[in-house]
Formats: sequence, C-alpha cells, structure tokens
Amino acid sequence: MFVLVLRNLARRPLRNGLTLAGIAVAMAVLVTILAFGEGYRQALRRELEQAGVQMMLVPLGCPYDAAARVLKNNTLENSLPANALDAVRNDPAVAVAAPLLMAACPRQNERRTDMWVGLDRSALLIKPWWRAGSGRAWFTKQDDVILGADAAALEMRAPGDKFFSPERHREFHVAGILERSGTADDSVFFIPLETAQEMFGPLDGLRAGQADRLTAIAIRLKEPTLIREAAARLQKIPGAQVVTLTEMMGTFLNLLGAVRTLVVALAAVAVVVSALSIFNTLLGAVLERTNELVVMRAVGASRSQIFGLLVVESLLLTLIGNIAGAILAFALGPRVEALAGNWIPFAPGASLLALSWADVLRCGLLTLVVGVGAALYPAWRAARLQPALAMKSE
Amino acid sequence: MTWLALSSNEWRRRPLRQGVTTAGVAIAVAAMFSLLTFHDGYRDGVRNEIERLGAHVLVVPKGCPYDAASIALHGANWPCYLKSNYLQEVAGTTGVASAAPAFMAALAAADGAPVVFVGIDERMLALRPGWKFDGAFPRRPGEVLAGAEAARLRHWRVGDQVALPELSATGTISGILNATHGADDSFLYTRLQDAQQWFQHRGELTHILVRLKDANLLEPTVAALRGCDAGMDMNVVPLAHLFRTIQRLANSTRLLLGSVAMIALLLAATGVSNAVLMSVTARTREIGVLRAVGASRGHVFGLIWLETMQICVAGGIIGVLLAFAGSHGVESWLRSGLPFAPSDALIRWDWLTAGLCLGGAALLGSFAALLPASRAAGLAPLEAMREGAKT
Repeated sequence: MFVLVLRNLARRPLRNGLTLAGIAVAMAVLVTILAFGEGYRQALRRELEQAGVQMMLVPLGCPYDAAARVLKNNTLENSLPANALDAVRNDPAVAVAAPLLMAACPRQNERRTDMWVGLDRSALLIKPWWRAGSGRAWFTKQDDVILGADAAALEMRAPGDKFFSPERHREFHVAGILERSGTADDSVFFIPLETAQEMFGPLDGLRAGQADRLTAIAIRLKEPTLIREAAARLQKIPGAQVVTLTEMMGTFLNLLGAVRTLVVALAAVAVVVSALSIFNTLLGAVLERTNELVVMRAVGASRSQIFGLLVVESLLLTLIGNIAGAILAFALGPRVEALAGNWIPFAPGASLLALSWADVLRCGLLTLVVGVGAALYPAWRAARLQPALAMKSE
Repeated sequence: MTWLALSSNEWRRRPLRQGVTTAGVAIAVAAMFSLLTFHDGYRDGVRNEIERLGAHVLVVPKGCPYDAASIALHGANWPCYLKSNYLQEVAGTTGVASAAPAFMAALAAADGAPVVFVGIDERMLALRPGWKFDGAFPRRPGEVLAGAEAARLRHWRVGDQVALPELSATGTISGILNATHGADDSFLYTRLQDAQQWFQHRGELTHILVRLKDANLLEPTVAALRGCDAGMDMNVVPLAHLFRTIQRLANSTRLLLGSVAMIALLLAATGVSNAVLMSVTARTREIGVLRAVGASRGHVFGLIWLETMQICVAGGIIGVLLAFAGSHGVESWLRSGLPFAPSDALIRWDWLTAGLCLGGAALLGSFAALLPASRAAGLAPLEAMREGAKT
C-alpha cells in the first residue's frame, strides 16, 4: 500500500509539490514562532537571574523614554543625584550596591550602537560570571577597556591591542576579553567608572558639578524577602525611583504575550489555509482517479482499504511537509532572528530562538492531525464509490 | 457565450473545490484586513483617549510612568500618592495654564466591575471643555457627578439621595455627565476633599493634570516642572512622549505581524494556483477543442486568468466582509490580551483598507494565475484532444 501511495504522489509532482510547500511553510512559521517566544522568555529570565540583583535605582522619568533618547544620539539628560549611591549603601537591607554608568554610542557608518558601561569593583559581585577568556579580568590603567565576547569578535581585537573610539576621540588599551555569558553584556565595552564619567560627562553637555553622575545603581539585598521594605525606603531618595526586576520582567512578558497571541493566531490562519489546500488536492486526486479506485474496488479492495489509502496519502504529504518545514525553520531561523532583532524592543543579548524538538513534535502532531482531518471528506467520497461504476465508465 | 460566462462555468462544475479555494483566500484576506484596521484603530484609540484627558502633562507619583498613565486613563487604585502641596508648585511653574488635582480610588464591586471614585475640583472643568452635564458640579459635601454609564446602570437621576456603592456613605447626585464615550462614563466624580476623606488619604493626591499655555513649549515646561522643588519627588510624564512610545512599540510589532499575515496570503495563493492547475488538467481535452475551433493562446490564457481572478476577488470580498462581521469577537479577544487597550472600537470599517485588501487579493490572483494559465495556453490543440481522450 505504501508503494501505491508513493506512486500516486509522484504522479502529480507539481500539484503535490505546491501542496507540500504550503504545509512546509505553515509548519516552519509555527515552529519558529513558538521557539521565538520561548527563547525570548528564557533569555530574559537568564539575564535577570544572572545579574543577581533584585532591584535597580534609576533616575526619575520613563526608563523606556531614556532608552529611546539614547538611540537617537541625544544625551542622557537624566542621571542620578550624586548622593544617591551613599544613600543606597547606607540602607540596612542592601548587601551590594554597584554604581553603573551606561552610555550608548551610535555609529552611523556601521549602523549599530555600541554600549559602553563604566563600572567599579563592586560590579564583580553582581556579575558572578565575570571571567577573562583571555588577558586580564580587571583594569589596571584608566584607559583600559575590557570587551565582551561579541564586542571583541565584532571589533576583531585581542588583549594588548590598541582600540580607538573615533566618536569619543580616545584611545584605549584592550586589557582583556570576557568569557561568553549569554547575556546582553557580551556586546558591551567595559571601562572604569571614572573614565566613563570623564568621557561621557562633558561631551554630553553636563553642567559642572555633575561629573560624578550615574545612570543606574544595581542593588542586591541581604535578604530577598526584604524587597518590599527596602523598595519603600529607597523610593524616598529624591530624583530617583526604584524598579524591581520582577516588575520589569512582568512588563516585558506582558508585552511579549500580547504580541505572541497575535502572531500565533495568524500562524493558525496559515495552517488552516494549508489544510484547505490539502483538502482540495486530495479531492482532486479522488475525482481524477475515480476509474482507478472503482477498479480497485471491483477487484476486491474493501471500502476501508480505499479510505485508508487516501488517509495515508494525506499523512505522507503532511509528514514530508513537516520534515521540510522543520528543516526550513532550523535553516532560516537564525536569519529571521537577525532580521527581527532590529525590530524587537528590549531584545536580550542571547539567542532568542530556542528551537526545541518538543516544539517541532508538537507542531508536527498538530499539522498531522489537521492533515488527516482534511483528508476525511475526500477519503469518504472515495470509499463510497460503487464498484459497479467500473463497467459503466470504461 | 462571452468569456466571462465561460470562465464562471467552473463554479457550477466543481462548486466544492472552488468554494474551498475561495474560503482559503477569504480567511487569509480577513486576517490581513483585521490586522491593518486594528493597527490604525489602536493608534487612533490611544490618541483619542489621551486627548480626552485634556492635559498635556501628567504628574504622577514615582514608579513606572506607564502603569501610572494607564491607571489615570482607565481608573484603578494607585500604589503611591503625591502630597497636596505639590499642586501649588506645579501650578506656579511658568508655562502652565492650569493644573487640576485628582484623587482616584477604585473599589471592587460585587459584580466584578470596579467602582472608580475620582475626587476633583472646579479646575478640572478648564481641562474638559467638552464636558456637558445635567445638574450641577459637586460643590457641597457628599455631592456626586456621575458618569453617563454609571448613572444608567444604577438608575440614578439628578437630585437622588443614594447609598454610594461599596462605601458606607450616602451622597446626592448633583449632576450626570453626558456620554463622552470614554472612561469618564463609568467614573463617579466627587469633591476632592470628600474622596480624600472617604479613602483616608487627607492631603494626598494621585495625579495632577497639567494643561500648558502653549503646547509647543512642552519641552521647556517639562524641564521646569522637573526642576521645581517638588520635582525630585514626582514623575512628570509628557503625554505626547507617552503616545510616541506606545506607538513605537506598536510599530515594532507591525513588521512581524504583517509578514506572518503575508505568509498566510501566499499560502492561499499557492492553494489557488493548485486548484486552478487541477481544473486545467481535468479539462485538457476541452481546452484542446477550444484551440481547435479557433481560440488563440492568448484567449486560453485570458480564460484561465479570469477564472483565477474570480476566485481571488470573491475570496477578497468575502474575507473583508467576514473580518467586519467578526470584528466584535476578535476585538474583545484582543482587548483581553493587550496592554493599553483603548476603550474605542479597535477594528473599524475603512474603505481604503478594504480597497487595499481587495487590490492585494487581485494582485495575488494574477500571480497565482501565471502557472496554470501559461500551462493551459501551452497545450497543443491536437495533442490535448488526444491526451484528453485517453484519460
């Protein structure tokens, strides 16, 4: 029977090829979308957990708005007041308070934005993965720079190399390259905090007396359960507000969830459309092969055998389509991700695609069920043919 | 017999196949139409909602300004409060035309829908020139100005003495707002002092609505507000920025959603191509005869092309109608999952979008027709008749 099915499919290569392509594309879209959402969530969680911090103290104003302003090459007008760091460090619940100065440096010529982060020793406590892949793991001079793994690959630098930043007219000395961490930090240029304050302060038109500015303070608590009281106390620091990471993650995941529902619904539309296509193809095959099927019936094939033949044909069609779709998803996924990465807000640094066999299996199962469902009516039509018709039509 | 009549023969001969193919196109077009109108509807909805607020700048307590703005627009309980004396500073800042204080609190009612109380004073009237109401603005203790929907639900009329829902207090309905088609319709407006007293937050506000003298001076005024003495303890949210950011978020999803919808359309086109190809194969003999009696290759190509177009255009029309008919259900489903869902209709009829979808379907049909039509046109008359006779 299997051979028969294969031969039937091979008889109309163009038609079955088109149907197959439809199934494959629908399957690929479904798998990619599922993998994408899952990957985003995992990356976000990893990023937040690896940070080992429970909250951030950021300047007043909208955190999203600040990010947007940075992207447009505008200055970071918001910064934390100078005394905020002391206030945080004096809080009884705070174990580690790491001052950070983040600045984005858009590079129009290369169509990307470099992230520069100035930090001091306390940052090592909140970045437990911090290990030098090559070179030294900490700055020895004020013009040392330590590169994240991706940043080093992009700039093609090794420890000991010189590194010139044309936008900032400053030459740096690459002290070390970090091991890959799987977070956004992989593409960051790390420099000493004082250097960053000196470098990004005056150029961004800051008033004198704001030289010791910070853009954020990452806070780890002695006891994670103290988060509520600590947040309430720190919220009182003038000019600053506390964002807990659970809040932040909740906001992102809400947004993601909304988009994901929409996309999954659209993918479902694609699957339905390709199911209709299978239905049509099989129905056409039944009508075209009426004579053949009738003869089969006349020489002794039972109704259920005919029914089975058609169902197996559909199954095989969807199965091949599924395999092609899965291959398509694995092959094109990373490329799609690179494309989509430019459009997705707050994309974590790590790969967003988590293509998993479980997802592939789940989608495959779904499309197979849909395929069999689409085959039911044509198969029933075929099984209903009367063997006596054979005499008439020949 | 005209070509049009000839090309529509297939509908009679294979109604099921044609129907299924058309349904495929219709579903894909419906998805596209919903998506396109939804994007416009969402943008306009958010803009209307922000405009209805009547303010240029929102002053809110510390915390995420987006949550705060969403609460101010839709009504809910606030996590933090502002001190009442910030109001004087805000009102005294250069560039500020009027600053209206508000104290908002929400109580969960037995039927699930929250009851939102908003304490305001007469300064609010300067921000809402569109407000019309029967009766009077609440000026005496216990007086309530009810939103149109809130009053209708509870059968309140002006002058009624009522027990305020979920509060152990009674009030007088001093006025009922005419419908504004926004969140205002379900709010209960009271005197500022009453709201502060009922919810035990004397001397505190939840937000301050600020209207500027000149909307073009937004940036300097915001900078001035942030720089005033209280500026370190409150969040100043320019609503134009808020709108831009929401818009940017919506736009960033647009490409992703659009491409998935495009894929669905392409799949539908493949299905159309396939179905027409099948009908061409089944009619090999017929086409041979047509050619033999004098129809040119161009005629045959045109015939098949016309057939394909019929499917696609019919699918397009049905799809657009389907999307419109189902918009209510789709909308309530979307609303449940969307952050910042405005209360206006999200999916609306739009001739331009409908035309765009129809045009898109027709264009797609032309492409889908290429393969089967050229195959049909390529048949040699005699061989086609012979081959047709064989099967």
